[in-house]
Amino acid sequence: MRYIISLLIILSIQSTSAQYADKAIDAYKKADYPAAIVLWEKELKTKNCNKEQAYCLLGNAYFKNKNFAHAVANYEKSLRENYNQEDVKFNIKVVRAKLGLDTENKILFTNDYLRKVSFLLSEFILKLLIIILSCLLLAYNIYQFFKGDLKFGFLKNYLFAFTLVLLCLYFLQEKFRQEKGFAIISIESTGYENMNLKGESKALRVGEMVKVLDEIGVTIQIETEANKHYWIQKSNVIYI
Amino acid sequence: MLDKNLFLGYFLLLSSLLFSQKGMEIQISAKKVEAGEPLMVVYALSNYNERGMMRKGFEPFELIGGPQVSRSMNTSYINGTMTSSQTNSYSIYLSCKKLGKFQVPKQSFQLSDGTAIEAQAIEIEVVKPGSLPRQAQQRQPDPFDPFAAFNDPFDPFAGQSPAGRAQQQNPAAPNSAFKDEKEINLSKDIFARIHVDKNKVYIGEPVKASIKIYTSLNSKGFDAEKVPNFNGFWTQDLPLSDKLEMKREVINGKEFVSVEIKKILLYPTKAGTLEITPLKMKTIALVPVMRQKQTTNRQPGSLMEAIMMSMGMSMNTMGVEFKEIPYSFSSGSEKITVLPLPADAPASFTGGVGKFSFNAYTDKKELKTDEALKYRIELSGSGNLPLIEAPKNIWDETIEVYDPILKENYNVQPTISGTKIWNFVAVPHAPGSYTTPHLEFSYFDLAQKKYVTLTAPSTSLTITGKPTKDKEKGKKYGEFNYAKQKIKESSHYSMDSDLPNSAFYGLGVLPLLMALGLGFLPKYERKEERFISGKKISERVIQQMKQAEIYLKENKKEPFYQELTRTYWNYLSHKFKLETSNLSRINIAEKLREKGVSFELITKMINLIDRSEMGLYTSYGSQAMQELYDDSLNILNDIDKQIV
Repeated sequence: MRYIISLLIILSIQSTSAQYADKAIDAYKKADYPAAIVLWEKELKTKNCNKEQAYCLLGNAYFKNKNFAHAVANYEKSLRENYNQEDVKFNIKVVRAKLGLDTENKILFTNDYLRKVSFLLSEFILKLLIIILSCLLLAYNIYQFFKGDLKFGFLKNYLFAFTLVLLCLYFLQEKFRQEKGFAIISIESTGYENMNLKGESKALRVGEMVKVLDEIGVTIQIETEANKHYWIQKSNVIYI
Repeated sequence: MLDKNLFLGYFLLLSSLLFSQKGMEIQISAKKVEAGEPLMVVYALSNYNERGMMRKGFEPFELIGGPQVSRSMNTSYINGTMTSSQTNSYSIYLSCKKLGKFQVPKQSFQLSDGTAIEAQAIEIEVVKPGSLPRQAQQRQPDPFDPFAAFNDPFDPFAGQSPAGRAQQQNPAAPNSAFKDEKEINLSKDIFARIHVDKNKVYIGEPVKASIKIYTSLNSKGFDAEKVPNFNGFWTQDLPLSDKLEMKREVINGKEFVSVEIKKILLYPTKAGTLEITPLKMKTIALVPVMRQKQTTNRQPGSLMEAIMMSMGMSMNTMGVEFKEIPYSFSSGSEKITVLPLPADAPASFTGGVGKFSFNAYTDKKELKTDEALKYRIELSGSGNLPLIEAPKNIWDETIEVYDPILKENYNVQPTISGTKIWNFVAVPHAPGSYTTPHLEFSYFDLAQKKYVTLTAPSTSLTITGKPTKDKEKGKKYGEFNYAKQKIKESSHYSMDSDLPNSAFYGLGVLPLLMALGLGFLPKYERKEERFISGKKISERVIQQMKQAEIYLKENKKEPFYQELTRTYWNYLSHKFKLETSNLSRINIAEKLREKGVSFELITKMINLIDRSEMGLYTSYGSQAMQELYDDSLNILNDIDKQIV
């Protein structure tokens, strides 16, 4: 057991220093936002990057650079990493208000409660807890198998249930994190009813969050916040 | 190497000559030329098998370039017979410094059979410099282009000029060849100028400025040493086309290639005389220099030279060579007088200068509380649109207005005009009737030279529904106006502590599944082992005592003692294979002795039976029960070992 815990600690400490992040924060403080954006993009490609914070700070840099659609996209990405970030949610609302959009984001905020709960514990803590608890359970089960019950053996079942709940939370988190198929309109564009960009059309606002339903060549079908389906040019959106 | 346009000319020319067996055509670039200006003469010979041009001199003209020879072959099959035609074109460049009507002397070409053919004389009128209408003829960038290796001085990312690129190219016909290296003064050959469209403007009135470089020589790239400073102006760069546009311009009778390197809109921000500081550039110019031994009409001295000449490589043999001369030049400064605006500016003046019209619109007149109202202010016209701020609009307290989204659309040609649209979103929080703000916009009219105030009518709004925003709490949009809020920034960044997934699945999920699996496995047949005072008790004895143990745990006194007594008798009867009813204390002792059990142990056993029977009637507590239980285990175990 001691060996396992020490192994876990070693695994968690193996991170390298944040080489681009420090520079990016410096650039941001010096109001050199384009440089900060480039550095954050580089940081996000490194292995041990804290995506949750990096996306948020990249969003800030985009905001300062007056690139609001990219700012929203990055804040949303940050929320995907950790939903319980009130500052980021606030920032999204501010940027959406600046873009003249509804500040209640209907698509991302579905499953609001489930998302909140699943992100109560960070991924790292969840993983660590699951590892410790399941190792403990296995050790006890092996002991029980050969030697028989211990006095507090009945606690095992509760512990087992708790571990399963944690596992569920972890997989839920992963599901929310991996959720694909959302995009943000980056250029003021027109959505058409038909695939060949004809028919009934509607102007789509910059920063509006859309669900990507289908993708054919350079056009994609999207579902807007009002649950309407349109076809637009793929180059007019940023995927998140 | 020839100009593209010339090639085209030849092509047209040749196509007309194609079917005539032999022919000669003469083309001239103009019938009238200014003195000192270059004149091009092209002799196109079809299907003569000529050796070359025999130059007889060009008096009173001076040969400044050529002859350059270009050959073209055309082979065609018509009805099975092959016809081929060959055309050689000889281009020469002449110039004349005298005025009047002159003839370009007859030129002759030597044919391969030793005879010669003569070309006709051409009549040319030479006029005073500047008397011909100036032509600024736009051309495609061509290989003669002196700007081929041009670097944009305003582009910090441009690499070094490709050295020597200009050198590889055959230089264009120079306007004049310099006679002596010492006389070289390039100030009239390469220079830059700043052009502004107005010199006297009001504050805020846009001025279009452009910077141009003029050159009549080839050069190896341009580099900016110092860029102009537009102090006192708010500037807006105008896009230049991706390729630098080359133009031919004639200035004071001399032909230059000009290129515009920067176009900029200037909005003066203060009154007074503002100066645009000069642009300083450097370049390496390729200057044609005459050789010492120079003859204007030279016969080819040797066969080799004749071939070289006929191949059009005669520049050097003509005595003109190119020298690389580094040269710095500057554009000279430009002054703009800026007049102050009159002092009696109305309150609604936000800096607009020009001529504008403006209006305001709402998308609906009736709406519910918490419904968004779109409000649009449109300003269009010509003038300093980029500098104009949105007119002040004050709304009722209960209507929340977000920062506007600005849409701009400008045209630069011919004057700066366009529209500017501010889109506001307003959300009313209380019912009632309201009006949109009364808008006023003032600007300085350049034509009338006075301030003009425009107004936009206000629209009345009817709002129905329940009030949604209390003073303490606004539920839907929070207590604040997001549009006016700043984003929350944190510069906090820490490295991510992450467990690799392999470790997670190996140490977390897998053990959990294994633990789960273990629960479903049939129970391992356990052999209970117990130790009492260091001795191992056999499984059989424990099994016998199981029920007694349960009673002991439950602290049931009577059943415990009864069970214990019963256990002894059962155990012994089983051991001796006798009926329980046949057993008595006496025969137990006997049987035990027979089996070779020690006397001490027999006594202990009899004592044990006595104790359990007595126990029923004593008031001994659980302590005694435990003791008895342990003893019975111990003794029975001993007996079990001794009787095999």
